[in-house]
Amino acid sequence: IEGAHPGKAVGGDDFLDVWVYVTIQANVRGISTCLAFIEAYANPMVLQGETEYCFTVLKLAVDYIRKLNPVTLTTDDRYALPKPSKYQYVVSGLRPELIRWDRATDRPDGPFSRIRVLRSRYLFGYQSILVKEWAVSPSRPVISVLYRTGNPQHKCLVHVCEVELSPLLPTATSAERLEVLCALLMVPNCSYALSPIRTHAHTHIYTQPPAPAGTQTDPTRARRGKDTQATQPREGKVRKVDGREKKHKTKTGKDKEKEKRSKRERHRDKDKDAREDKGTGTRKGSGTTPADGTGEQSIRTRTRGAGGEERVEHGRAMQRPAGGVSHARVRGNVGRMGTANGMRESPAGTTGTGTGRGQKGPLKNGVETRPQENATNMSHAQDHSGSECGDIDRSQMGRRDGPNGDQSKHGYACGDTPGYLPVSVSGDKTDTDTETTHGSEPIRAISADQLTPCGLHVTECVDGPFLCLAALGDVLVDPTNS
Amino acid sequence: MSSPNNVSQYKLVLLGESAVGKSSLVLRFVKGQFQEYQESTIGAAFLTQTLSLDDCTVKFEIWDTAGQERYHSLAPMYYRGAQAAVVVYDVTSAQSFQRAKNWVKELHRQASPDIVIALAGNKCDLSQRAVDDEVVDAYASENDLLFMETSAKSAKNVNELFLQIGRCCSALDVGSKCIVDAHNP
Repeated sequence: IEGAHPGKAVGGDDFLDVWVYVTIQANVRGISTCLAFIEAYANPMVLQGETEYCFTVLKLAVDYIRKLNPVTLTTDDRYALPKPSKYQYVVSGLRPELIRWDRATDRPDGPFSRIRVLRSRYLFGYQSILVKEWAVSPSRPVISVLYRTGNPQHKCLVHVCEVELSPLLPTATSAERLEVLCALLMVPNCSYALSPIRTHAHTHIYTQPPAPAGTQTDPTRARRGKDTQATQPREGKVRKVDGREKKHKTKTGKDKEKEKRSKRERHRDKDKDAREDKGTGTRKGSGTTPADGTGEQSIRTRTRGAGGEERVEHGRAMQRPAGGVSHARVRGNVGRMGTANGMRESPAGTTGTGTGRGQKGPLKNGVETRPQENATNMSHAQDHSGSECGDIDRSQMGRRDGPNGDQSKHGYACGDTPGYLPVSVSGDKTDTDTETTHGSEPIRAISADQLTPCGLHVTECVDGPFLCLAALGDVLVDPTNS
Repeated sequence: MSSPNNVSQYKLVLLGESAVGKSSLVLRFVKGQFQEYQESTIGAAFLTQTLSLDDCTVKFEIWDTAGQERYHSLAPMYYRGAQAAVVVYDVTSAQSFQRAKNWVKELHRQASPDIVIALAGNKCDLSQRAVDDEVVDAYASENDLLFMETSAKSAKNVNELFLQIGRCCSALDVGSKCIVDAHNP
């Protein structure tokens, strides 16, 4: 610049622009973690003077890049996107996550002013694990990761939460939300994972394609009209409310029972079919549904480092967080992940809430507390019929395992994005069997090489006034009435 | 370097809208009269300058900041830990003075309470004024600021401004960073 403008002083004004450019081009993997590490552990005598200045400017640049979004980039109001104040997230039901969210709303300067749980579901075929992620923030020692095991007996509790952005923070645009989102739904480079992918414009959640409409494996991500604002998915791919759930709402208890039973029967048949299809005998007893609690399975532990920690975290009864999200449960699915070496337990009994069925888990981590649940917004979780318990998507699983013909849906909105920003908040440290993350790969490469062969597709754009349900395409089952 | 008794080191940030002459101001200060200009790899964005006061030596680390609106939310990172701040505005632009007032407010609210804030009306050599210096003077005394009209072009008041800041800083000794000179332990 000095060469281009000989008379002009090159100062901070020009310097930061250049630095932002360089940071983007350099594409450093795990830069946030690096910076946090340097800040925490560098010798303060070294971090002085010009070094300190450079370091600060680098932090500024990274921060600026993280906060880039269409709103900040657009100075012209005519092109500015409307800023919605409410968003929905899927939150893993693990205890540290809930506590963290709780804190996020407690803090007066936090990004969210209000958070409420719209409903809770079991996500079948997924496990949630905890990953140590100390580097980003000392206050956030772990993050939870939802990943797909493909095993229908694995399940994890998720809550669909609605958060309201704090009006005090007009600049709390996407950075905090993306950060939270990434922490919840990390991006393991594995074909099973839910993959939110950050671009400078949006986060897209990639997931397995939903089952074709009309089959029994319809996802239950229907929205309750009064709970959600009028959110329309951008691409018409996402199916909307499926009427079944609405029907359930009006059914009496007897009807529910009946339907449940019939569904189970149907399910049995399906189960057989599924087994024959797969030609595997992993499941004992064709009549077992997860709610019956008789099926046993050998545990494939996919977490290595995180397992031990989980045991500590969840091996005891939960205490209720201080306020806000009052809903807190720990179930066997958590403990299962802590049990390595093929320990066996009853995975399915965990759904039998309120029936007094004991846990066979080695750590008695099926203990659950649901304090004052009804007094809170959690009542939505209760009114959802458990009859959809039969909807475990075995047929879907089988289909997924095979080659997916759903390639026509792979119109990536973000595949066209010119640049991919390398800031990876949470993608650096996983102890799962997914070694690497999308961290700093070019977005185009990700789209082309990893997602497409797995049959993933863009389901929703999160960073906008769109409904975000990470569990799209999967059967979410309410555990409460089963 | 002569052997002073001690050297106090202060971090000084330059704030203000872009194109008000922050960089020119600091270049004039560092290059102009004092010989000890340190060639820096990062232009004028980070410079150091040593001033000899009556009884001590003050070493300024001058951080030039980006004044663009889009970086505004990041500014706290710049002035974190700073002992002095120079808020620069352009006397020919009323808007830049408005921004300067916002900076001052923000510094009062978020920066360290001991920070020395100076207000500099730059480009005072130009004739087409938009900001009345008496108004600014009143504002400055009201808010406990150092105030000077400066001109980086004619070097008017530039050194005076930094000398004043140096005196204020050493009087407050906000730095408490008195480093015994390594050569004279």
